[in-house]
Amino acid sequence: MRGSITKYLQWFIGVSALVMVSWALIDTNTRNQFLTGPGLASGALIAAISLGVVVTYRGSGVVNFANSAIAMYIAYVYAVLRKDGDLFLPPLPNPFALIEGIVHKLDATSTLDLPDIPTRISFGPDMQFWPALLIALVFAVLLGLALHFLIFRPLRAAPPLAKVVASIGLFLYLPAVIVRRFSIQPFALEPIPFFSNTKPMKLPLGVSMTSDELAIAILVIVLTVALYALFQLTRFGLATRAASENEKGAVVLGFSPEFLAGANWVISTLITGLLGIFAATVLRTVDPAVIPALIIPALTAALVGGFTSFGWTTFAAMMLGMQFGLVKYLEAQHHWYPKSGSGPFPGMERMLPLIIIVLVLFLRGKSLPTRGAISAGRLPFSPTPPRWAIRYGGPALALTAAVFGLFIFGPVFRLALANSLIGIIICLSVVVITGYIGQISLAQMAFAGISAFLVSKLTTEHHVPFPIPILIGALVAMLVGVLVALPALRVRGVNLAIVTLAFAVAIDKTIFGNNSVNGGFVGAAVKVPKLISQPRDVQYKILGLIAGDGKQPNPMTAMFCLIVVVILCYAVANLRRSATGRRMLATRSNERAAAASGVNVSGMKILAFAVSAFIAGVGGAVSAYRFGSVTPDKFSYVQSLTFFAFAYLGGIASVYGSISGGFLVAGGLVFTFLSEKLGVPSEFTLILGGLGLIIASVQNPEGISGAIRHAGFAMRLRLRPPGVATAEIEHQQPPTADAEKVGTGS
Amino acid sequence: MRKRSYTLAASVMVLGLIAGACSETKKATTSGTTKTADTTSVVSTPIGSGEVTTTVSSAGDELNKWALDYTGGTAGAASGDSIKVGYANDEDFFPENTIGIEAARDYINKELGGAAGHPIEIVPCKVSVAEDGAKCGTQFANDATISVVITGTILNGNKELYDSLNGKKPVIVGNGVTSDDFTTPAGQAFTAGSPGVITGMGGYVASGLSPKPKSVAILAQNNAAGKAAADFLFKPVMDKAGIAFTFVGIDNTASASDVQAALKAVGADKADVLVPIITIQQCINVFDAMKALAITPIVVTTGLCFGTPMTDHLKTITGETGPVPNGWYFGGYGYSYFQPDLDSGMKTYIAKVQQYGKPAPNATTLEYTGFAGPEFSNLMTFDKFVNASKGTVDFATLDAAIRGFKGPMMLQAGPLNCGKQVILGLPIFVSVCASQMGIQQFKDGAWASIADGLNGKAIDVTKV
Repeated sequence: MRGSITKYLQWFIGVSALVMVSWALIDTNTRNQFLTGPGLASGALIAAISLGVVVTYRGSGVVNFANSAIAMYIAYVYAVLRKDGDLFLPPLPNPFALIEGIVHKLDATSTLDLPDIPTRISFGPDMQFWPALLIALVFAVLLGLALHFLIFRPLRAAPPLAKVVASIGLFLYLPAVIVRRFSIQPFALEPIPFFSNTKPMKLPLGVSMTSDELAIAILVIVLTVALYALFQLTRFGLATRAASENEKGAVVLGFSPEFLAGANWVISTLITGLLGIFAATVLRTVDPAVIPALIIPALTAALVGGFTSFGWTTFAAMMLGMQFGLVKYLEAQHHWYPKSGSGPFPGMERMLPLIIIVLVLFLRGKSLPTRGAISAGRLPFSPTPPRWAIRYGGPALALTAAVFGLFIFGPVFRLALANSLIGIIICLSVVVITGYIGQISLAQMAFAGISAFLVSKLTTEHHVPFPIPILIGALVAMLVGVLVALPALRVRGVNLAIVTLAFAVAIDKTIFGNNSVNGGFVGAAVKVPKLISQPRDVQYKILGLIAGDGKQPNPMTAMFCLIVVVILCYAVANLRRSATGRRMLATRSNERAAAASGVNVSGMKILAFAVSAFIAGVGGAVSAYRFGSVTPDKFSYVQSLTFFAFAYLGGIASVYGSISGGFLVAGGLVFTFLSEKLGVPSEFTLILGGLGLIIASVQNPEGISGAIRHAGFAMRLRLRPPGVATAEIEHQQPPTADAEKVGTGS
Repeated sequence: MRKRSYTLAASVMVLGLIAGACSETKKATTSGTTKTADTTSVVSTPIGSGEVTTTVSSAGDELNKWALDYTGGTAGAASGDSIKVGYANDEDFFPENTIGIEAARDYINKELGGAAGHPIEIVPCKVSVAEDGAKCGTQFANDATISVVITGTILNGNKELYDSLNGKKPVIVGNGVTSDDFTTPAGQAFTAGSPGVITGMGGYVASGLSPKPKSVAILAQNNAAGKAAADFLFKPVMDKAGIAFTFVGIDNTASASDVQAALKAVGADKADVLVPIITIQQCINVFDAMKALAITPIVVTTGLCFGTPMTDHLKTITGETGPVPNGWYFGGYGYSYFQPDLDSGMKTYIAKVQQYGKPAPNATTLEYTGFAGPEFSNLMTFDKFVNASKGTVDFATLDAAIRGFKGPMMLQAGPLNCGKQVILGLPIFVSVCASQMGIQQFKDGAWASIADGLNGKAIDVTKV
């Protein structure tokens, strides 16, 4: 019965989609908005990124979230070569700077000036098209090799989470390098010499486009056919397909999965780079925001193609590029288009990828490709919080934070403390959903934002007294979390990461970008109780001691955040110690085994999503009270990625990890220390964060908290009193990631 | 052992990178060359590609006299303890604000006798994200040595900044672009701001163009301020005039092809007038899209559409010469960088910004059109207040001076009426002081005053 309903629904969806596309093509007005040169150029750029994603996935099993950033980076390499004749370099470690710093610290009058690492390699004043293209493509090849050998080959046996994390690290790192080198402003590209980009050509069906738009569209089709031929007709392609379906089988047949992965990485970066350069040239500029943001439609297209079909991927990418103009036309010209207030409902063109993803997942469900990997690593170790930590460690840490916040920190570090505490809350939500149950959610800030905007409405329009809005906001976020959990019952791992990322983008554009939600002109203010209002220069007398320095920010703002953090840390730690926590971990380890043991796997997933979204909702509400207002930029999808990154870096599977992650967030204690005390500029937040994430995913999947735990164990071992056997200490030691890999090896 | 060495190498790499970051920053901040101040005021400096030249032909004495009259200062260099001005700006997107305020500082300190004899010191604070707004606000609010805060252009964290400063420091709102800048009770903007300029553009489209247009298409940023500007400032004027109105919002991450698609979608091919209220890069995309679509609506836009990138683009891509596309109308504060006059202070500004201004980091040319001018004027006006108060810079004195300023304001047309402007019946813009704006057109290689302070026909936006 259920199966036949699903079948009817699939037919209904398919026919509806066909009718809509036919209508768009038959009607002259809509066709003129749909079949356009700009639409094809946009589609070509999306196709460039998605083809690279598919090649990488087929070759190495990595869904590369950073492929759009790679396209952008190579386009920059080309653009700078053309304009200045320079090959720019990322910020590189400079050991001389350490020496300089120490000398200047010891002697402020010192004029020691040691050599700097160059930021550019110059080839002359500017460069013609062909040499610039050639050097950029050589760079793309080297980049592909570097990505394979330095990052993804070491992660070949790692769980999907580690690969997703590494690619997210890359996604954050590459644009941050560009911002550091060229600022966030767009960089103009010289036109391709052979094509016109101003004189439109008339084509059949009333289509009009410039020759460079037509050229890029043809190039995409040619490369799609070439990739199809490569993977269908050559021995290399056959081997890659074999490895992508079953690595063990490929090894038995004598193919090297490592060689195939490396070669496919090179093909991927080459194609992405080539098409990225051409598409960016057609678009006339490149900047660190526009192209990276195309990763969502690119992943959508790859998903439509099942991460295997180049033809369907390109087709879907072209459709996604072309729909933009049509949606905007309907938005501007049709009265029936959904309205919000006096204007059209915003962001529908960004909602479409989410709808397609959900439909594809619904239609395909469990048939999405998975790889028969040689070995599968495990997720980071999730230690049971020891009793001493719950009884003494936690209170001591909270007391220390309170003492610093009330009596020791100056204004700048009090602000940073509040930022870190809010970061801890969001990281805790990631710990529950990813660390405990293994589901990759990249939408935590969307849940937080839903709660935050609701708090704004409740406090200003309905005058709901503090702290009730926090609870209501978190509960609504929890309900939304349960809705998002429904796809998680059918998909997991990387596919779920794509769904949640698309959800985050859709919510960002349609809900947070809606004037009736964000308040339009007057903004979304929050009525904050005087006691915790941040812009107050007050002092308090606590147990005879004067708290605060009489300057902004109000120390009670951070104390309010601290109280919430303490409550949530204990709740999450106890969840880990409880039977429910153990069921979650069992689900994370092996869903089938957990189900066989009587664990309600679906129930556990929904519960984890609910708890995680509730915690994120609390974080959003606390952020709303702490800032006194809510703005969409605080809850964008990039923020979700950034918090996920810092949660992983801190340690994704433990409460201490989320505390470490909170320390690392932008504007938190660590980066405030770096900027205030060492003069490290704020652009380095994402450079260091992205780089740290890549290093952590390769070297230390348990993050900073795991490293500290292992270091503590090593110290205890070294300082053990005479007569205590090593084994007595060793039994407390968690298994290392390496040990686990050995245990699961084939 | 192998893993430990990897970890050690990674740690050293990160440490080296942090040290390298300090080193790069140190070198970057010390590498800028300081131009020698001279008193020459006959300037002919190319903008951008070298094709556009703004020439100021007045004698140096005349320009300095204007500035001394405006500020009430005494000719000569400043000395003694400095008067500190907190300055918050988004340097990534709007470095031209900094060009303006720093050039004004150097001019005031070296030639106008400083502020009541004291040199002015700018205390900068960079705002990129909301957390920065709170940080800069608390930093300034807690610093007793800072006398006033002048903002540049900030996209995020504005409310947090103003909340921290409200009632603690006098605030001059610079080139605001978000609704918080014009609705904050914390300070005052001595310009008509974007509410005034956009409303005035609507007024001009509705009653200034001949023949009267039948349809208007507007492209604006797809954010709260952009949508609100279209819905609440432009649409009511069009509705009142019986002009058909379509609007499409575009993201700040929209590509050139997205802009072209949006242009088609909004019906720019059929509309009589196109109004893009977008960044310069998107303006360039609009220009290209109009070429590609072969459409020629009347374009009425803002000063955001001119600057070096547009000039360079016109030259390299289309071969056109001129700073902006031919025939476009531009809304602004009532005076023109390209038609400098003495009375508004434009001649003085252009001469002095070219003399003291330094190109933004990573830029090769001095970008002094756009937001640099009003920011220059804001510091000059602050100098005027300090000179008038004979060096008294306490909160009450400066706050009262700012809120009570009636004009004339350098580079801004018309009188000021701070805190009392009602635009289109909306009394929410409590920080907007000016009520007049101007329209100029670039046509056939020359600028023409259409309705501005130069021809005495500036548009009063409270009467639109």
